[in-house]
Amino acid sequence: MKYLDDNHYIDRVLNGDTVAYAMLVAKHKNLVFSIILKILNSREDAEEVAQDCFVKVYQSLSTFERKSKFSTWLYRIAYNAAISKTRKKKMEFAPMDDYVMNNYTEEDVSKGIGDLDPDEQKRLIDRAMARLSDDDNLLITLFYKAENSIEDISNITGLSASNVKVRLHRIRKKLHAELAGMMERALNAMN
Amino acid sequence: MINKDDLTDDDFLRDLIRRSPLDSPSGGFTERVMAQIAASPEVSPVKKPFYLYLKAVVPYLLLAMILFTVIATSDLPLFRWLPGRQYLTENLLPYIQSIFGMFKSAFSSKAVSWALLVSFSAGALYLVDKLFTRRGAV
Repeated sequence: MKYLDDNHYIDRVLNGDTVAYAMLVAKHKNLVFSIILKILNSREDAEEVAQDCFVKVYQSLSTFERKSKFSTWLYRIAYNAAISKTRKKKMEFAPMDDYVMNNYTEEDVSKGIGDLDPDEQKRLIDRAMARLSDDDNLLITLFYKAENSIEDISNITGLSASNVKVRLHRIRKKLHAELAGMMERALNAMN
Repeated sequence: MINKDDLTDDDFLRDLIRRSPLDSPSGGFTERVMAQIAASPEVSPVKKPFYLYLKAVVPYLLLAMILFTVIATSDLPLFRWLPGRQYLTENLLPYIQSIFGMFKSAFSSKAVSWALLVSFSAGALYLVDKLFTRRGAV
């Protein structure tokens, strides 16, 4: 389904058209749910928190000043709700940890994986992402899937922009290392 | 301003990651949210309680009273154009004394003094509670 700009629905809701809010929920529910799930690790709890989050956002919609994107505001509320539910500490700067180095360059990996069929590519990236930590998966979701800028992610998570950038770079390296490892194992199995 | 383009070229990973589907809540999620919204009471804007305005004014009021007392009782050259201590003792003091006289006559009766004492104490305690006890948001 093709959705309109968030502000269109917000204006309608603020003018009394409650039904327009259903469109906003439908548009953002998967991302909000994914963000919360990556923090809580329980589908049941994530559904409950996501539902409460959307109700809370509806009730405070008139206070949304539109200084940031609606999605950034929404994801920040979702992130904080999930953090307070789990009483987990917010993301902090983590030192660089070692990842497996191998003989393949990023270009080798891109070419090797690129030659595979789409289903196999999807299976590999799912496996590689499953090996990342929850925090790393959350950053990947916010950056690649929700298409947030570094500043947006900084606003949502409370990390500094430079920290977000460093962590994304590190995650990218980790994913490349994971994919290279998988490619190497596949080649060894063939020989 | 930092943006996504500042990161090294990662089109390959981005395309790959976007193919991986997002987690989604169970069916009927949107309907459940809308039902919860319909069932929850309308949230009216929270009105700032009056005691908070009063609490904010107290320091300024005290400062004004202290300044007034200092200026009214001083004979400093700077404040010569003001009535000064002489004015206070000759004109204001009789009024203050008459007010205290009223209190004195009121307290001459035991019943009245007990009633006043109890009501003043209760009133003072209530005000202190209102002024300095932080109430939770409704």
